[in-house]
Amino acid sequence: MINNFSIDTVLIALQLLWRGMLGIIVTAVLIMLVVMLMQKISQFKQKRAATKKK
Amino acid sequence: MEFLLTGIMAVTWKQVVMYLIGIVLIWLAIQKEYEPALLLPMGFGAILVNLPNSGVLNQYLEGVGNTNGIIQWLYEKGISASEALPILLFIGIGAMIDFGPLLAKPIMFLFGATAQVGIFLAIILATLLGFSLQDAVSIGIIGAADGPTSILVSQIMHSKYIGAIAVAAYSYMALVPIIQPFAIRLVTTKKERCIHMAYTPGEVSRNMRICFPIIVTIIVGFIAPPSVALVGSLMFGNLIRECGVLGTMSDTAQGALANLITLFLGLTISFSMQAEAFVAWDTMFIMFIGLLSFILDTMGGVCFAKLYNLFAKEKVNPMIGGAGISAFPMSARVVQKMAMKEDPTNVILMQAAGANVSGQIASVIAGGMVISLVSQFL
Repeated sequence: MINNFSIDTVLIALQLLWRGMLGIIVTAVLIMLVVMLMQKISQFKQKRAATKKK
Repeated sequence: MEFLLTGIMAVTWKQVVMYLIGIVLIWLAIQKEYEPALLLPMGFGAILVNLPNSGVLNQYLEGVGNTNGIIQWLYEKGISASEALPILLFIGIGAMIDFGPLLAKPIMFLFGATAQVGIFLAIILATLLGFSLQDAVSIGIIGAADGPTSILVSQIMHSKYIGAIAVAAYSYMALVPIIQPFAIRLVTTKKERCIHMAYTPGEVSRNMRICFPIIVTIIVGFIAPPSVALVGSLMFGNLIRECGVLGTMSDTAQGALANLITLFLGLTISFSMQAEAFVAWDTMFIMFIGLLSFILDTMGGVCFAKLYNLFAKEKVNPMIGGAGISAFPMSARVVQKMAMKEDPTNVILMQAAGANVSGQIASVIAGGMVISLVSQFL
């Protein structure tokens, strides 16, 4: 059976919403930034290789 | 002749309900082809575990003593003791996923991340209905549309509703083509659904493909350590795929390993579908909140895409936000189908696929995040 309703549990759930979403978004942004950085490094390497060939 | 009737005389009405549920699951799997790899073993397992004095469960036999049942043994060893089955399944899933569309458009990570909001809204609703925090978290994670994560979280949280949660998670995953268009239409206009998106992918080098699973594992491991088992397995599978030197192992992970574990997982999870616990009003609530969680996740992703459009130079089709859930690649296909229905020349499949694979990672992070946060609160 479902336990009794408790306002404390609801308040914790509200904190979960805030902290959980913050955690997920921060993680996603970090991964995104690292991937973007790697893309930039890769482009830079390509440009440098092209310049050397010239 | 009495011994022939002992079985049938011991059947309860709840067990009969479970036979019907089992038959419906098998019917959905075969006739409608809804997640047949899981719904069929689960449906058959639901019948197996609900036969009176079933031999697939541990029993005490007069004069013989205790006997072990195979499904109970598999459950205790494969899920209860180590969560091994859902975790190992992630190696196969990781080997199946091509993160290329996401690496080409890294901004898609944000769509996957924001599409997890429904999980947390559903957790709040479940606590309002009186579920304990552990049960509420387990129910909310259904919205991730990720069966193994749902099973893992509910097992770690020691939720007694693991059977209903698994059934809800896999049923709704199968119903993506019905649920998502409904949810997306609720929060988008025809004009928004017609937005075209130019596809100009960034370059994805082999090095990046190899480094990506390692980077994700390390970042997620630092932020949400409890999710390392899941993310680590997913990314390990992907590393096998992308490294280029383990072709046969990658094929095995994608094929034989994934199929074998899916088969065992479906049968094993039916242990938690025993009539006494399953046939209850709570199960109805779980199915309802799970559905709501799924719808809110989709709507959350779409609403973030609309918010993004307020600030972005190049507008995105908000429907791709709805693809930021874990049901890969079904969700991306559904979004593409919807786009083509509004405008047959509109192709947004690659962008939707990027959001979809980011949803796969984000749902696993969400699972780890709730485990981590709940353990801090309790």
